[in-house]
Parts: sequence; C-alpha cells; structure tokens
Amino acid sequence: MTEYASADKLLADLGESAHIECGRETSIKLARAVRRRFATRRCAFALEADAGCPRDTVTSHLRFFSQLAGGAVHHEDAVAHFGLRGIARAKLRDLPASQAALVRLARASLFQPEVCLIERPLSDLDAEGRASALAWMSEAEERGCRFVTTLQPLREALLMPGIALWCEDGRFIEVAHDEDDSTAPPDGAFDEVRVCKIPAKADAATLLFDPREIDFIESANKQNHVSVRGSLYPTPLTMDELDDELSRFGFFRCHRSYIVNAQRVAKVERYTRNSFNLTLNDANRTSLPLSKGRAQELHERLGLTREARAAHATSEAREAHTARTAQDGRADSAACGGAEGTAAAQAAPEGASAPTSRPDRTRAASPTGEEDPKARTARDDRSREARGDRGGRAGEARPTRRAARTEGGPR
Amino acid sequence: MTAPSARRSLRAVAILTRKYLADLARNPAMTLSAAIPVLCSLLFRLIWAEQSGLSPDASALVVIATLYAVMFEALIASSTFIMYAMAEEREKGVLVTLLRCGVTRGQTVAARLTSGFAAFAASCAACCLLLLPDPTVTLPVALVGIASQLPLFLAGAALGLRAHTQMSTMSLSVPLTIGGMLPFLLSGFEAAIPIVPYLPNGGAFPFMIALVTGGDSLSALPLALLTTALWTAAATFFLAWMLRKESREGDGFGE
Repeated sequence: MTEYASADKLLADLGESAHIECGRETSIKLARAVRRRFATRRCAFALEADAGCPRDTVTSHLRFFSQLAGGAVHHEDAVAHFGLRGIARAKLRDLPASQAALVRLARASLFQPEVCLIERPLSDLDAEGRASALAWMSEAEERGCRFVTTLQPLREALLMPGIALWCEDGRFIEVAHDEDDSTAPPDGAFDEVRVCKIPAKADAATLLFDPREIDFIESANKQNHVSVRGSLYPTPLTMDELDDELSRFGFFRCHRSYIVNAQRVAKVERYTRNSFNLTLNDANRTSLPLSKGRAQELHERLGLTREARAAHATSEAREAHTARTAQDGRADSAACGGAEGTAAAQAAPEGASAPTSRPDRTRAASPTGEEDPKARTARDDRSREARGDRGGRAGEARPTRRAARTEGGPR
Repeated sequence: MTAPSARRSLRAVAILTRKYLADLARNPAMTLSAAIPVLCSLLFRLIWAEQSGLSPDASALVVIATLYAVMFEALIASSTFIMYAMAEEREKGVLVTLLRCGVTRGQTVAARLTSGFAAFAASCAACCLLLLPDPTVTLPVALVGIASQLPLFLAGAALGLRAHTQMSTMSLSVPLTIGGMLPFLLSGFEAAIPIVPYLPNGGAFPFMIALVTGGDSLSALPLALLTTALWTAAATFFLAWMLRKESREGDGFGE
C-alpha cells in the first residue's frame, strides 16, 4: 500500500491519474499544489465553486472559454461530446446540478489540459453524464493528460482510470489494486439458506441485518460498512468474512472493496475499456465499481454471456428431457413396481418444474435430505456439459471456495 | 514580459472586453443606465431646445444639459459598469473561475475599464450629438468631456477591486459619486467656481462651457489637459496599488 506524505509528494510521482477521496479543504490544497507544480504546463481546473456569468447560455459560456483557451477545441465539439445540445441555449443560472457539472467538464476539455484537477467529477451526474465524462477522461488520458480528482465516496475513484487514494491526516494512501486473481467462486450455490445475521453498529446499539436487506458492503478508510436502505452502518466483520457469509445469499464481490447484493443490480455498464459500473436499485441509486477481472464472472452469474445463455439453454433442454424420461420411467415403474424407478420419478419432476436459471436447482435429494449419489453424478455431468464450450476453464482455473462448497455440500 | 506573452495578454483582454460588452448589452439594468442620459437628452432636445429656439436662455440650458449628461453618464458608468460589474463577477464566483483558467486580475481590470469606458463614450457621444447639433462644437466637447472622466473610471476600477459583494458597492461608490458630482455642485457657488478646474473630473468644465457659449475655449484647453493628465496619473497609481494588493491576497485558489 503506497503512501504519500503530502500533496506535493503525490504530484511528484504522478505517473498516472490519481483519484482522491477527500474533503473540500484538501481539494483546494491539491489545486494549489497542482498549480504550483505544473505552472509551465497546460492545466485545467473544474471545481464545484466554479461559475459562469448567470446570464450566459451554455453555448456562449463555452464559446468564451474556447476563445480564452486559444480555440484548440471548438466549443461545438465539447457541446456534442458531453451531450449538451439539448441545453445549448439554456442559461447557466437555470441549469440543474447535473448539467452544470457537465458544463464544467466541457469547459475543462476546451483547454486540452496536460494536467486536469476536477472536484467531484461524477457526483452530480446521471448515468449518461457519467458515461460521457468517463469517456472524455479515458480519451484525454490516452492523449497523455493526467487527472487529479477529488471526490467522495471512494467508490467513485474506482470507476475512473488511474489510482485511487484516500486522504488521512494530510497523507494520501493508495487503495490496493484490485488484481484479476479473483478468488470468488463461479456461479451456483445460491440456493443454500442458513440463518445468518450481519452485525453492524449504530450509536451504542448493535444491529443485526438480514442479508436480504443489505444493498452492498463498502470498505473505505480501513472500515467496512453495510449499506441498508441508503444508510451506511459500520460492521466489525472483514471483507473476506462478509464475502464468505454473504455469497450464499446472492452477494457478489464486484471489487476488492465492494460486495454487492446481486439482486439489487439494476444496470451493468461499461464506460471505457477498463471501467465498469453497477447501478443498484437501492434508495440512492448507488453506482459501484466493477473490476475488469470480475466483470466476466458477474456476467456469467447474471446469465448475460453467450456461454451462460447457451449453458442455461442446454440445461433446460436436458431437464425437460429428464422430466420426460422420468415420466416414462414412472409409468414403467408403476408397471414393474421397482424402488429405483420411484426414486427417479420423485427427483425428476422437482428438477423439471423448478426455475432453471441455476443448474444447481436441479439437485436431487434423498428422502433423508442427503443428496442421492446418482442424482449428484447426473448433476455433475450436466454441469460439465453445460460448461463444456468453455473448455472447462472456469471450473479448472477457479476450483476455489465455491467449488469446494458445492462438492462438500451445505456448510 | 516577452512579445508572445504580451500578445497572449492583449488577446485575453480583447476577448474579455468583447464578453463584458456583450454582458452590458444583455443586462437590462446596465442597458437602461446607459440609455437614461440619452433619453433625457432626446427629451430636452424635443421639448426645450426646439421650443426656445436659439435664445440666450436656451443656450445656457444646453450648456447645463450637456455638462449634466456627461457627468451623470460618467457617474453611472464608473459605478455601475465598472464597480458593480466587478463586484458581481467576484460574488458569483466568475472571477475565480477566470483566474483558474489562466486569466490574470490585471487582464480582467483592463477589459472591464475598456468595456465600461467604451460604453460610456458611446452614450456620451450620443448625448452630445443630441444636445449640440453644431458638429464643430460637438466633436471637441465630446472628446474632451469623455477624456476628462477617465480619472473617475480608474478610481472606480480601484474601488471595484475592493468590492467583494454587490452590496458593498453601495458604500464604496459614495466617495466616487460625491467626487464626481463636485464640479457640478460647486459651479453653483460663485466663490467655489475657481476650484472646479482642479477637481478630478472638473478640468474640462471651463473648456466645455467656453466652447458651447462661444467663449475663448483655447485658453482653457491647456489647464483642462494638464488637470486631467495629473488626476489620471494619480488614479492609475491608486489602481496599480490596489491591483497589487488584491493579487497578493488571492489567486483563485484561496491563497
């Protein structure tokens, strides 16, 4: 975990863009430091307190700053890029916060900066605005621009290209990179239910949350928080413990610092090559970062990939076939009175009638609650077939907790 | 300052001046401020001068009206177009935004002065044209009248640098208003008339009066020029001092 003692030290090592979770005071300090350090370079600043003449329209405001910047970027290009055509004739004083934030970014883009400091770049933006802002940042970074952004909460920092840091007592601490060696298990095991409560603190009380109430878990500033109905509560559990506990309830580790309730995910967006975003349908319509390395897994889990769809289709076809076979077998066994045929007839319709979004749902159980070895073998065969077009890579490369859990049965 | 940076600076001043002029035109209060003396001159021309013909009484009234138009317009322009506009720019956060974009405080002041003085000159010239139909009189009266108000504008810009809010211009404009009106007020007292040419914007008064009434205007010209030049230098020094002070206090980043 890299740590920088001051803003100057951070800027001295500014190899890539830095996104810092901090307050307004630190923003101003950083702006000063950027101005001091990069005095000879083209800098652009977009701070929240920035304002244009209230009587100006969006177009006249951007035209004016385009002229001041030397006209390298035509204001119409900025209007088009940031999707401001609809409000081009609107007066600045009439703009809502989201559009004013976009205008600020558009203004910064006119300067073709080499270093750009932006305060809370994504906070007020809607999904569309975020997409255009992140696209511009990505393009600018590819051209060599380095961004220094100050924001809250930390999850916004993780949506943008570069390193994420938080500020503590004047020091800047880098958030550890989220590598692609995700140990999160592949899909499955959503159907295991066990009494589980997640403890969290609220003043002097300890609250116990039902996992289904939780929207997401956030790790920030060495403290983990549970988000429930738009409020954050600190929890004493570690992220790994929470991940272990909650994965059975449909939670997914979308980022090193975030665990999301997959049921709450309303939208998965890809902003740039390396930037993914999950929008939840929680009280605050929260956006969470999704690691590049975990995106594929989430898509698979949500059944969004071709492979997953194919696997589900194969599974469904096989289940339908199994159901038909079972019905035939039941008729036969009724005639023969065989015990084996009766067991198959009991197991098969259960699997056939259940929602087939998860292969594990076809799991057959013996009357004692233990899994029938035959049914288990059949299920494993189906799983292998379903994943066959992936060459078994997913299963082989990540034979981790989830695989162990599946094979080991309910914990 | 190197040649390229001087060019860049001039370019920035030109862009800002154009913007400030557009702002003046878009702001109804400012437009009205510029239009009031012109409308008054038009009314005077239509109602009084036309009815009275060229009688001596009418001639005296024309002198008073012309002086009043120039002085009133100068007061409005220096306090509204310069001070108030500067305070508004600062209060609404536009100034810091400009400073963060690489514009200097000096450039904004230069542009504000240029735009304000240009608007005043246009309005003043219109008043002179309406009040003084004789072109041989109109041009010198307008030129000298406009130039003599320059110290007032420079002082207005210096005080505008101190105006942090639009409300604060109310108190800051008091010395400007009193100083600007003094020549007109003192002209009413026989004993105070000799002082008038030495006041900040009073140098041109004897010259303008002589020109309009057909007196010896040439003898009054050197004093008008000298007084205006001296007061302009003093106001420039005051503005430079204020500018330096303000630049030290803030650069757009809270320093």
